[in-house]
Amino acid sequence: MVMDIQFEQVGYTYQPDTPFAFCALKDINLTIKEGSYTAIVGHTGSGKSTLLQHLNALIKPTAGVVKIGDRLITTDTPNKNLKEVRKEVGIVFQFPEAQLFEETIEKDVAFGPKNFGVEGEELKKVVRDSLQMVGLDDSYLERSPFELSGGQMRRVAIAGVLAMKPSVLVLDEPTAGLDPRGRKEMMGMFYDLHKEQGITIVLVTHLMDDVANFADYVIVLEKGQVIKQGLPKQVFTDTQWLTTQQLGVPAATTFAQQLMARGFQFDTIPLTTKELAQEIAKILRKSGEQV
Amino acid sequence: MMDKMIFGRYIPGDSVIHKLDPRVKLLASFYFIGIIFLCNNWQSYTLMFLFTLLALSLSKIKPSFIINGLKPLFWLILFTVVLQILFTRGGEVYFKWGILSVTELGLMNGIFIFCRFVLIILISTLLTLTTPPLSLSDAIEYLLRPLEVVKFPAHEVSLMLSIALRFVPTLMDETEKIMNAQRARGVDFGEGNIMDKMKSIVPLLIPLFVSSFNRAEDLATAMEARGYKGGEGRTKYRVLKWQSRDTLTALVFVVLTVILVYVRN
Amino acid sequence: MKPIITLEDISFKYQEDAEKYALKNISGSIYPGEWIAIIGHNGSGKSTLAKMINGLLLPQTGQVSVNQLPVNEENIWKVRQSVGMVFQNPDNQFVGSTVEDDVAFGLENSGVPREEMVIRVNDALTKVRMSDFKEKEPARLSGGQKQRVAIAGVIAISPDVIILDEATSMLDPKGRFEVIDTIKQLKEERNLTVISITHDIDEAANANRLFVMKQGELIHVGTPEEIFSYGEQLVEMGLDLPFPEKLKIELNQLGIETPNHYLTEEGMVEWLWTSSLNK
Repeated sequence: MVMDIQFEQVGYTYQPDTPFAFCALKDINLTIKEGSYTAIVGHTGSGKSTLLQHLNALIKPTAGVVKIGDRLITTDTPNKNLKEVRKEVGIVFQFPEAQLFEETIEKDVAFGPKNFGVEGEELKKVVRDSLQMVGLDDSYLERSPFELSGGQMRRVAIAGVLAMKPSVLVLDEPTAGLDPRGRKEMMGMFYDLHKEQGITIVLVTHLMDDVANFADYVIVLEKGQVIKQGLPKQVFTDTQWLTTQQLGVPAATTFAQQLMARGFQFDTIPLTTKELAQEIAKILRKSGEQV
Repeated sequence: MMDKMIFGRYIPGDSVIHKLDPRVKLLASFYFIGIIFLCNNWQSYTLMFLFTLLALSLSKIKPSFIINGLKPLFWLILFTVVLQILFTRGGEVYFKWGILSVTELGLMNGIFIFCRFVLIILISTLLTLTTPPLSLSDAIEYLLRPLEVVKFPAHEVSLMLSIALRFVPTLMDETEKIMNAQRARGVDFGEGNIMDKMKSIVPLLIPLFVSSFNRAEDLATAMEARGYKGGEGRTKYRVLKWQSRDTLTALVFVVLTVILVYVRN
Repeated sequence: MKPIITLEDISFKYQEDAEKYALKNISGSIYPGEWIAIIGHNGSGKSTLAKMINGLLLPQTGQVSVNQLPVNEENIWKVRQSVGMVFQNPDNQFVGSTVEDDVAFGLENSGVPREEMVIRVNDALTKVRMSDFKEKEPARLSGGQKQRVAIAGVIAISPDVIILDEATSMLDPKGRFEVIDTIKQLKEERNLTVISITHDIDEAANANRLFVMKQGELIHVGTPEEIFSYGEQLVEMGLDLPFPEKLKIELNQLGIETPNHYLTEEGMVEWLWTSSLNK
């Protein structure tokens, strides 16, 4: 089964038919391809978190169809039998450490897979493996999640999602509130999972550098609508547009523009520090040859 | 996403009812509920209904919305009314089965109880729909103040109340977030038998407690840093202003009482 | 100029019998109108140090003074009048039920008469550009807006010092910008002393001096230029690398030599431009 996620004219209204009715999503069309690393960007209140909840049928669209693998989710889809969808698409919510509740880390990580019927030795193994993926060894198994540091608690929570062995992993600002080192380690960890295990990743973020460094597809949301989508190169080329949308521009791109204002010429506009360095190296070597 | 509960929610507006002093509204609502019990014939109930309808229309709130407020309590009302009808005896007997009977008096009582319920719910819904919770807590503090003489901690109670109110949306948001997170981990809230339901509550309650404790600690630190040292020597930013429309309301209630006493048996 | 805050050899443990010091032999002075950024890893003692300055915690040994006034049980309320604090979580420090109520909270606590309170609340809200939100409830505000309300609550009591305890760490980039921008303006207008605890390199770059903490000790004090020139060690200090430093690392890997000293972005552009001409 191909685990693409597809939105066809999806709309969502909170509390329809009340004075508090609020349209959070409107006419959304998009595809998240299996094996991709898709970034969803947009301001607070742009509808990102509503969209995200559609990815594993936590909420059902009030208009249109969401296709998750071969499952169709519409307004009329009954609430039963959605478990298999939730198993395939794991969501790491913002500040996921808030979901920890068990006495031991082992029990907490086991919670998800147990709900999906995993038992015995298999359960034990999956818990250990998941903890290892987030960089915590077996010595943590018997400890209470509440005595860990904030960053470690987050890792345990993430392991709890990984333990369900989802084929799609949705990350809602997974590095919010971490220090730069923690941020770097965590983003590296997700990238490894993506590369080594082929997990599809959907990253919701404000950090354009992370988008530039990791994503292969970008979706920009604003006021409940998709206002742009495409390859990072396509989305980031129009820096003027990004700035007017107050979305921010990758640091390397901003710096490249300063260089261009000074007289540098680049073949393609660099998005990452690595690309920028390569472009600069090219130019420096060329000018070296000319002399 | 907050904004889930409809019953008891405040709907902003600028009607006469909205503008009344919260103390007046609070006292008047209690008073109204009190005098409902004076009603003993259909004339007096009609009077009260007319008065309530007048108040509701003055509030300019959509009727459909008020009816929605009644819905959740429908079964409770029905249950009480049926009990009342079946177990009260007197007057003509219409139907009898074992200890159960439907009599004239029973039917009357049933109808009156029904009216009482609806009136009480309507008037308290009106109070909460037109008064921000914060103003209510101000009103409560004001009304409790005389009790400070007998060492009743009116300031603390009102601060607790207003902080609790302020955190309702925050905690509702939090509840929803944690529920979503646990549903994403395969929990079905509200499915299965009672045992399953009880079990599924644990992964929701523990995180909520933990986060509430953290919030409480943070809040206490922040309050201390901002110089909070109890009610003594404290001034108040919020003041309630009594206006002529409040006096008018009081008078309206006097008139209502007089008419009520006149029309009841 | 007399320092506004002096730290004299302060040490602190959370439990008397704990082995680990949360703060160990810290001394230093902060002068009026300075912007100090305190940096360091989580658990390095940054927040503990901040709490010492307005008496939320008292040191076991040593002495903290604010405006030449020793911070102790006796002076604590006076000290809190001159040192305001904005905390990390925007939700957990919002005491009032509406924006104006929250700003008034500190004023109510110190018994300011109502007429004056109204003026000061309005004034403070104008300063942080939140006047339009005066009657709004916190649930209707973004994180950045909530933090600006918290700042208004602090400046309403007209303190000399404002401490930002990771006040921007839970905000999105827009909110972060709003908050820092507001602080910059207020600092100019009121000659505020700013102490910001942060992991954000841009926020740290605004400071006049950085205090680097590690395991409860103050290990470096210096200007941003001095501290940023530590290069890759900055990551160990809980900061990200400034962009020019990241670029240098990438360039070095491609075999291009770069200057050893710290370069600002402009400096880096200049250096790259000249080297592209001179080669």
